[in-house]
Amino acid sequence: MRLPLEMLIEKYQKNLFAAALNICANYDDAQDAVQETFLQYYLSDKEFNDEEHLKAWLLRVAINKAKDLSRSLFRRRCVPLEELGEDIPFEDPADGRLFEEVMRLPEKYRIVIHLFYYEDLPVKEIAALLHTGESSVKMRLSRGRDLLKTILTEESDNDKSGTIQAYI
Amino acid sequence: MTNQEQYKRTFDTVASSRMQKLEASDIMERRKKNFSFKGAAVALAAVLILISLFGAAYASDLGGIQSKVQVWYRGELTDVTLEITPEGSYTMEFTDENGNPVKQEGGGVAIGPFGKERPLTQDEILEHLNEPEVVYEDDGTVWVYYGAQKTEITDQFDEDGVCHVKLVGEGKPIYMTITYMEGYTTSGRKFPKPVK
Repeated sequence: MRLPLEMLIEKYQKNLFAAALNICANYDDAQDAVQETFLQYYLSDKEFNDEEHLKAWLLRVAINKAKDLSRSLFRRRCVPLEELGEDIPFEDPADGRLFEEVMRLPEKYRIVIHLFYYEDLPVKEIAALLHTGESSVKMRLSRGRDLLKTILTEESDNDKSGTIQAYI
Repeated sequence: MTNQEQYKRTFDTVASSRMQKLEASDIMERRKKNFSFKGAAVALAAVLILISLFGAAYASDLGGIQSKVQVWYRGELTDVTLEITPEGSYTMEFTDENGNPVKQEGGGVAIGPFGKERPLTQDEILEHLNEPEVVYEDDGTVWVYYGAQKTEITDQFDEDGVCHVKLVGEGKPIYMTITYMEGYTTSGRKFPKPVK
């Protein structure tokens, strides 16, 4: 099965952008990775078993494109973390801090954390998507959480709002 | 609110705020492919060493900025139009086996022994274009292309996503260490350490 490009953009652009951003840490590159992903779908004749299969393919291609871009010698300038979260209308200030701390994680932890929490994927599917072992995914997930916990706990010592610990 | 709900809310807000809405019509019109510099992760530090190891391109006209050359592309010796800038970036255009126009762009710098950077030369870019290439196909298979050779390595990755491939061509063998979707390193003597 295949779906019209318009429908895929409507349904999945945000998912792909969020995943690519976790690799690139750069809005322009993430946008390019998503555009390249949809272009690859359009140029491909690949048939999919179902929509879940199609979404997994889109995510894998977007992650791959984002990695290519982030490793390109001609990649866009690195955006300081402080700028990355600027002017985003977060519903709660704690969301802004969560975003900044997630983006501060090493990429290999960040993408696993993202696929787990945002895409709600089980470890097995994350491993298949990233073409790595389940034990490696579990390790990255655990270390990523530990790093978030350390950073946020340290910050919470200075910020007594008491909300930050809830991320752990 | 659970951690997951807050995480989703946070990244939904970021994506909605910063992504530009794509139009299907724009994508359909843009029938070209852009590729990043192959092996860029390792090229930055090792390009001067790597370049001398690989096979030749067959240049027919290298006098101008734009040249007609032949390079190996997915196992086929392919006629391409290559444009190289003084800054060391290139644009390569050709028609693939299905008649679709393909545009590949890239470039880079070479780093000398004292860390001084310079743009890649025309010869270095041509040699780079004939380096081994790792291709991740839509169906999930992974292939290594080198000259006229094509090898599937889909099931050769270990638990850490690392695969070792020895390529034997006309010259010395090339030892490749490929990290899944991360890049690869090569050596003429032994399997190098994987890309981190």
